[in-house]
Amino acid sequence: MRRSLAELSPQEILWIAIRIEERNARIYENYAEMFEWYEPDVAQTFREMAREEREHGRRLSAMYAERYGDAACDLTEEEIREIVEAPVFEDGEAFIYDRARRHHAFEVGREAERRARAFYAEMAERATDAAVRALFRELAEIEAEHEAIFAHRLDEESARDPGDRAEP
Amino acid sequence: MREGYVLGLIPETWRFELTQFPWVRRLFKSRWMPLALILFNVFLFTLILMAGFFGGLMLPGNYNFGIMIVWILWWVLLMTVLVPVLSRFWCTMCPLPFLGEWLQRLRLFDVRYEKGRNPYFGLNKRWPKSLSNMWLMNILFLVTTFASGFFTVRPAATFVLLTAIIALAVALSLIYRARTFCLYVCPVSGFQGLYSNFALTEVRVKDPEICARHKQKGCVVGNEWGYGCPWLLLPYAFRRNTYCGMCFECLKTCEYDNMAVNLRPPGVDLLVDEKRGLDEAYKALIMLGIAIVFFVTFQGPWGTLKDWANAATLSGYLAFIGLHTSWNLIVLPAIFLLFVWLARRAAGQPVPLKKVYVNFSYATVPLGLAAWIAFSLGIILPNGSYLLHVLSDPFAWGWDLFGTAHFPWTPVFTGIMPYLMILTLLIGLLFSMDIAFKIARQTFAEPEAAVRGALPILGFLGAMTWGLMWLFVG
Repeated sequence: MRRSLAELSPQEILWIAIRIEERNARIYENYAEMFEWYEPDVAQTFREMAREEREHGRRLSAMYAERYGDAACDLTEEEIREIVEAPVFEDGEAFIYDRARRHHAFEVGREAERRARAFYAEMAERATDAAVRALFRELAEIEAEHEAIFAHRLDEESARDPGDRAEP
Repeated sequence: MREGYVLGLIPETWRFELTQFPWVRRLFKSRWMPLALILFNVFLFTLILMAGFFGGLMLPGNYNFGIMIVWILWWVLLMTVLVPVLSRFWCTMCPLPFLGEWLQRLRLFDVRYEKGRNPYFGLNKRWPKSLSNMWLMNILFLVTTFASGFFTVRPAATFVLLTAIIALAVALSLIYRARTFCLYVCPVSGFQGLYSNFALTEVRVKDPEICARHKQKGCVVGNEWGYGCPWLLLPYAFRRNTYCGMCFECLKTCEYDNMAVNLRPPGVDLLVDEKRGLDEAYKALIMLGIAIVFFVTFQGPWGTLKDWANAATLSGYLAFIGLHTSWNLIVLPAIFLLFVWLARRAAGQPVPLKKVYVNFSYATVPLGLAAWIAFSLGIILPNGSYLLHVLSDPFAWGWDLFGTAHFPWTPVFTGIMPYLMILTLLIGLLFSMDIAFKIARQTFAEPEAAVRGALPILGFLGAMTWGLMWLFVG
């Protein structure tokens, strides 16, 4: 039986937030593998994004260690009902039309961070426990920072290469 | 008509998962599927090539195994059953890219998986971006039809065509990645892709949430159970049949059994409002246009046109090519443009003309498919009995393998054939009208504008239907 993030304790929430960053890093590495043969530039971008996610995970781990020490939780990301911050490259025909570029990779990252920020913010609104609410707010702020990083890179990249299959 | 329902009857979201049955899933996950089907067709196409080679230029087409199997049986099955019902199931078992794919994988049955990836033999280059669309297939299909008058009467023409396709498929597979030939070059692939958007079958992801969490997408990069999508799709994300070659590798690679083969209502992919392009719009119009040319030339009462297509004289043949090309690339698209311009004007909405043109072109797909089904009826019903002859004597060497070598020419249902054709066409028109209304809703923001905008397109579809019906009964 999967549990909602809202049902967890602050310690468990932070634990899961770290797992989510780790999962995302793995997903970005897989995207890098997908794009390796096709567009090394995009693959490289996804690798950078994976490193970024690991860095996010390290920051959250430091926060966790500061608050809860070495105590581990017996909980995995798969046991959580909601899918938080999962980056999805959604253009199923991107390879066919040869249209995936670096800025698409950044869009995937920005969208994942935006969804995560919105999700944590909503959780903070709904939370009845003050400690949980504070943690969700904190996580939403962190995700907002991440979103801003990707948005900035996306702006830079879009200005450089808007190449895409023209819409009719 | 009710929103979200096909013909106001079936919910567009309705699906019946065939792979929910364990034996069906086992079948699709087996590496014998589709290899067994391909091997059977390799055997069959070897016979076809032999019949084409030995038949040469001499035999009449209706007594040649290659011609009868390819242009009577295969073509009719493709247009009447395979594409409308089973989507690109022909691509599942097509023997033409078999050699090329075997060379790429250096494996026939099992999966080559080394150091965490599927290595491929060959240069594995990317196909040029400027050709990453349907334009080349549009042109190649049109050019292939220039020789349509020979294919059905000269066994050597079929031999040359199939040999050239196999050679090209092998060459491209050694230079380019995966199924590049099938994706961008094969003349048959383009219309199958577009028309399979109407099909009753699909391969799709079951639960996108599972894919969202999944860290290692074997359906794209491959794993020890199968190859990453040879058709270069991202199987966890694609939304229309156009480029899904139904190789079922994604069913094999998915660790969560999260890919499914579904039955669905007809035409739903034509409503996917993304990835539409002018290349596909032209493909839709070219297919409709060629169906009309074929009716006029090969099933119409004008013997002169047929002589032109059969190259009785060089000047006549050049006239056929000129008229055929102009009609398909200029005249019909221009007529459609006129109706699209009227639609945009009637709707009174500031939508770019190109967008309106491209969007509405997808509404011609059911009618075009119906025209080809009707044309196929005009092939199989009068000529199907020849199949019994060639099955018994495939190389015209006097064999009588099944005791049917002397079966006389026996046309069937030719008396009611025009009515069957008209019925087919009217069904196609009905689906086309349904799609046209829905595309009008997608294209023009206001409902009233959409209704006004749809009317000229219905006029175009009606005019085409009327013209074809006149050809059937006239």
